[in-house]
Amino acid sequence: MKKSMKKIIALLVVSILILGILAACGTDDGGTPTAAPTSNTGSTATAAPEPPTENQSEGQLLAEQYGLPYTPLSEAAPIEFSYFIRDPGTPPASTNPVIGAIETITNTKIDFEYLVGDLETKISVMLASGDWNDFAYFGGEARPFMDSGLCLPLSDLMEQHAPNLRSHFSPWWELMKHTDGEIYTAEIYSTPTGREYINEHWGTCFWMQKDVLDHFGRAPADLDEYFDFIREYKELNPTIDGVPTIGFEVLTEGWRRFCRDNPPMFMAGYGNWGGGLPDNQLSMDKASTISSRWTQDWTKPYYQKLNEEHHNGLINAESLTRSYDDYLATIASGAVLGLSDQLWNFNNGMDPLRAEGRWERTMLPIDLTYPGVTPKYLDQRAFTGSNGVILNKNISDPVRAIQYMDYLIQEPVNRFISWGIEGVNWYFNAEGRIERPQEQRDLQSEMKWQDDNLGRTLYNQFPKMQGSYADGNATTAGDQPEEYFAGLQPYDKELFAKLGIKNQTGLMRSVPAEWPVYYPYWSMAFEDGSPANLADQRVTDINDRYLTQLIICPANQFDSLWDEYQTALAGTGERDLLDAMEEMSQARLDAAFGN
Amino acid sequence: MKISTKTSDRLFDIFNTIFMLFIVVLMLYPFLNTLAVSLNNATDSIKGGIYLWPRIFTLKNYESVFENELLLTAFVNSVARTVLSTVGGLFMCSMAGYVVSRKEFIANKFVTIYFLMTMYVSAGLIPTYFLFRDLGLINNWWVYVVPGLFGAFNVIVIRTYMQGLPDSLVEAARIDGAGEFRTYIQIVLPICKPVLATVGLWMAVGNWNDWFTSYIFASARKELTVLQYELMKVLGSAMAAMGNRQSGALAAQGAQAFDNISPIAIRATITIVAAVPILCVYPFLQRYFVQGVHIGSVKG
Amino acid sequence: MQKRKLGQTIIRQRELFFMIIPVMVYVFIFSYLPLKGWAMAFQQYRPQRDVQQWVGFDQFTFLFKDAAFFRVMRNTLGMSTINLVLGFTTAIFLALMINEIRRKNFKRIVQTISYMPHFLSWVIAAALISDFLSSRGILNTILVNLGIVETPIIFLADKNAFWWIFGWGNVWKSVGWNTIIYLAAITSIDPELYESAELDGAGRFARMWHITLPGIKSTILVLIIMNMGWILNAGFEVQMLLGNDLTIDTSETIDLFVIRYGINLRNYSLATAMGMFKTVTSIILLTAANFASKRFAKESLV
Repeated sequence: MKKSMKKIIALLVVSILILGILAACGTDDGGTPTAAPTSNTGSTATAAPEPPTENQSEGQLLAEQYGLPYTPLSEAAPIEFSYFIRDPGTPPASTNPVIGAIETITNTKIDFEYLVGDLETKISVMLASGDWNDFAYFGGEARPFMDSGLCLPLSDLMEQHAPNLRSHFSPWWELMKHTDGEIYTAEIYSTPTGREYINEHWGTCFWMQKDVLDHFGRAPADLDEYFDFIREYKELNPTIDGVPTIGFEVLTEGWRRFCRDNPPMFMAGYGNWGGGLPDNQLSMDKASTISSRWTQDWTKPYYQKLNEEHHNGLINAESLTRSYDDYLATIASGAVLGLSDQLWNFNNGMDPLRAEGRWERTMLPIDLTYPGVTPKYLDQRAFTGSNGVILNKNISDPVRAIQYMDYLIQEPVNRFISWGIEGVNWYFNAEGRIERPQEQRDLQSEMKWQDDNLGRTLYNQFPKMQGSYADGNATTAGDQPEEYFAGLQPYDKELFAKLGIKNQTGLMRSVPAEWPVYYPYWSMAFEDGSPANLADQRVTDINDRYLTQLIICPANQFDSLWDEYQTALAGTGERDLLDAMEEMSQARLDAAFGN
Repeated sequence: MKISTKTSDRLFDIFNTIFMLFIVVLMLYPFLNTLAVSLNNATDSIKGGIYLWPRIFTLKNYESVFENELLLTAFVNSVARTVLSTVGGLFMCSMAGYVVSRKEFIANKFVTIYFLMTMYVSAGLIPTYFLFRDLGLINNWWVYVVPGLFGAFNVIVIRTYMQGLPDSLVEAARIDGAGEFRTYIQIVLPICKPVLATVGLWMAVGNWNDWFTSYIFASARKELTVLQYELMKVLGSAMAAMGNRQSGALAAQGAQAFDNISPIAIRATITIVAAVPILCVYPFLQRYFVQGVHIGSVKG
Repeated sequence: MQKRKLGQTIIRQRELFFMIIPVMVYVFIFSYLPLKGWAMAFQQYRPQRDVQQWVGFDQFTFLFKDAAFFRVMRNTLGMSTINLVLGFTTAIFLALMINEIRRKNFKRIVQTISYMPHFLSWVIAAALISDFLSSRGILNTILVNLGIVETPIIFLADKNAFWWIFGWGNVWKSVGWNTIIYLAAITSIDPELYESAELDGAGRFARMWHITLPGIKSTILVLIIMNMGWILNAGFEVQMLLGNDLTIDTSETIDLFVIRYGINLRNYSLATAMGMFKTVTSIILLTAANFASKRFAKESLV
C-alpha cells in the first residue's frame, strides 16, 4: 500500500514538473496582437506619400533594394494580423525571403491559420461566438459572416486609404456590394488584369490517354467515337503493364460528384454554370430565365450512354463505390483510358506516371459535345464575387490592414510576391520578357520549396493581378507561354507534332467564352435558412440516390428508373433554388448597369 | 475421466493457440501495412498495392513530419495534458465511483441517475463554446484538462468493479476506525488497480488522440498546440500540396522534380508517430490485469 | 421522526457527501449548465442576433415529416443493433479465450496486438476494408479460386451487405480494445473458485461457463444497459467512408442526415432538436433496459 502511495506521489511530481516546463515555455502570450494600434499613419494616405530622405528605416532601404515602391508603413509600428483560410495548407516558412521582405517593409506580420478539421464545424462556432481571425478567406461560405454583421465594411476604407486597391476593383465595384449596399469582401481570384494566357486546360473536360490518341492519330469527334476509340484500344490492349485495362472512370465521392453531374451540360454547349440552366439566347444585359439542368432532353442520353457502355464492359462499376484515393490509384496504374473530370482533381493520379516517365499514359483534354453544338469548355476569367477575403469588424487597426493590401496590389509588389526576387528567381530577357533560369524552372513543382522561397502564400490569399502586367508578361510563371514551352517533354513534343497541335489544349475546339455578369450560378450564395439552400441540398441528395444507379442498372430498367428519378426530382422544390438564382442574376445586372 | 479431461484440455489449448495466431495476423496486418506505407516513396504510394513491405524505401515521410517547428512544444503539451487529465480524472471518477458503490449511501440512487444522464444529454458545440468562454478557458492551456475530468461511463465501470469486491474488506477497515475518505484511499483504491488501469488507459488514449479541443478552443495560440493537432496540420499540408498545384511547366517536369508528398503516405506516417508513444504505455499497465493477485493479497 | 432520521443519516454520511458534492457541482457546470442551449431547438436560431425567433416545434416537425426520416431511423437502429450484438459477443468471447491462454508472454503479446487496430484512424481502416472487399481483394480471390463464385462480387455496391460490412468492420477495429474491460473484470474473480472447480473435475469450458462468465456478468449487463442508451448514435464517419451512392439506402444514418440538413445548411436549431430527440429516446431505452435487467437478471444499473 505504501508502495502505491509513493507511485502516486511520483506521478504527481512528474506532472507538476511538466507543468513547470510548460509554464516556462508559455509565458509569452502570442494570442493578443503584439503592438498597440497606432493608426494615424494612414490618415493622409490618399496623396502619393513622399519617402523621407533622411533617417531611412530598414523597411524603406529594403524596398529600395528590391525596387519596390515606398510605403509609409515602413515607418509604422510593427503589427500582427491573423488570417484564417478555409482549406488545409502550409503556412510559409519563417525564413521565406520574399515574405520576410514584405514583413519588414510594411511592418506587418500575417499569421496564417489553415483549416484542420471540418470547415462547417469551425464556421458554426465562429459565427455564433463572433470570435474569429482578423482576416479570413471562406470562399463561398463568406455570406453568413456578412449577414451576421461580423465583417468590416470596406468601401470607405478603400476610398480613403487604398487608392491602388480602389482602382484595381473599379470595373467590379458595384458588383462587389452586398445586399445591404456595403462592400465586405475583397475579391482575390476573379479580377483579371490585361490579357489572359491559356497554355493548359485545368477545368472540366473529357480526357483521353495519350497513347490512345497516338494510336488513332486524331481526336474522337463525339461521345460515340470516344467510346469506340476506347473499345478498340482496349480490345487491342486488354492489359496495360499487367493491369487490366479500364475504359472509363466515373468519380462520385462526396463533393467531387461534379465528375458525374457536369458532363451533360458541357455536352449541350453550356459553360460551367452550376446548379441552373440559363436560356439558349444569352444576353449580356438581360437576366435569363433559369430552368432545371436535370430534366432536359440532353440530360438523359448521357447517362443512357454510360449505362450502355457499362454493359459493354467499358465502365468500371467498382469505381462508383470506392474512395477518391482509390480513384487516384487507378489512374496512377496507367490503365485508365478515359474519364471526365477537372484536371486539378485528378492531376495527382498522374504524378507516379510522370515520375516513372510513362508520359504516354498521361492524358489530354477533348471537349466533346452533342452533334452540332459549339463547345464552351474554356472560360475567360470572369468576376464571380464569391472568392474574397473578409475582415473582422473587431480588427485592431482597419486602416493598417487595408493599407497592407493596398501595398500588395501595386504592380512591382505583386510581381515580387508572384515571381520572386529579380535577378534571383527571374530576370528580364532582351525582349523584355520575364524568364526564369533553368534551375528555378526545375523547382517549379516542388511545392515545399515554393512555400519556403516565394511569396505564393501572400499572392494567393490577397487581392492580386491575374492575367498580365502592363508590359504583357504573364502574372505567374505558370501562365507565361515561354515558360510552358521551355518545359515540354520530348514525348509530348513528338505527340503534339503528330496530332498537329501546339499545346495541351490543342485538341479542344472551344474558344474562351465571355459571360454575362451573373455567370456562374454556382458562385451565388443564398441566405441561411432560405428555401433555396434547402432545395439545393435536396436536389443533391436525389442526384446521389439516382444518377449513379442509372449508370449501372440493368439496361431494361433504365427508363423506369429514370422516370422514378424525375418524379423524385419534382418533389425537391428545385424551383425555389432557380427562382433565387433568377432574382440574384437581376440584382447583379442592376448593380452592373446602375439601375 | 481424468485422462479425457486432460486430452480435451490439450485440444482446447491447441485450438486456442491457432485461434490466437489468426487474431494476431488479422490485427497486426493493418499496422504493419501502415508502417510499410509510411516508409514508402509518397508518389509511388498513390498507386496502392503496398502490403507488408515498402516498394521504394524512404524516410522522407518521417522527415517531412518531423521538420515541423512546433512538434516539440506539441509533444510536451500532449504528454502533460494526458498525464494531468488521467491522474485528475482517475481521482475524480474513482472517488465518485466509491461513493455510489456504497450501498448504504442515502443519495445513492439520485446521484447515480444524475451522473448517468450526462451520458445522454449533449448541449452541442455552440453552448459549450459559450460556457468555456465564460469560464475563461478559450485559448487557455487548462481547456485541455479542466472540462474533461469527469466521465459517467468511467464512474459506473469503477463502481461496478467496487461492488464486486467482498464487503468484508470495507467492514474490516470500518472496524479499524478508518473514515470513508481513508477507506477509499488506503483500502479500496489499491485493490481496484485493474479497473483503474483500464479506465486510466481509456482516459489517456482519449486525451492523447484529441485534436478537436485545439482546433475549436485553442487555435489562436500556436504554443497551445498538441501533437495530434500538429499531425493533422501536416496531413492538411499534404492534401493542399495535392490540390494547389498550379498550371504551367508542372506537367512537363522531369521525373526527379516531384514533391514526394501525398496524403496517403503522410496519413500512414502520422498514425505511426502518434500511436507509438501511447502503445508503449500499455505494457506497463498490463501487469495489473493479471488475474486474482489483489484478492489473494487482501485475504492473505 | 422521519425527518430527524434523515438528518441523522446525512450527518452520519457527511464524509460521503463531502466527497460527492464537489463532483456534482463540477458535473452541473460542465454537463447541465450548457443545456440552456436547448432553447435553440424551439427557435430559428441565427448567429449574432440578440433576440431569436421562436418557432415552437417547427424543427421537430421538419425532422419527423421528412421523407428520409424513416429510412435514416431504420438504418441507425439496424446498424446499432448489429453493432451491439456483434460487439458484445465477440469481445466477451475473445476476452474469455485470451484469459485461457496458459503462457503469460503469449497472452500479453496477443492482448497488445489485438487492440492495435484501435489506434488506426477510420480513414486508414476503411481503406483497408475496401481493399479487402474489392474485386481484386483477398476475399474475392479466395471465393473465385474455391469456385464459390464465378466473377468477383462488388461487395461495396451491395446495399444489403452494408450493415454487415459496417458491423464486422467495427468488430475488427475494436474487439481487442473492448476486451480490456472484461479482462480487468475477470481479475476480480476469486482464484479459489477455479481451484475448487478443477478439483471437482470441471473442464475448461465448464469453468469458463460456470465461473468466468458469471464473474463478469454484472460488468456485461451494466455495459449493455449503458450502450442501449446510445443506440441512436450509429455515427457517420464509417458510413461516409465505406458507404457510397449505391448503398445510400442502407448507409445513411441520423447523424449524416443532421450533418446535411443541420450543420451544412447552418440550421443549428435542427441539429439541436435532433439532439433532444436522441436524448429522450435514450432515456426511454435506458429505463426499459434497466427494468428488464432488474427483472430477469436481478442486476441493474440504478
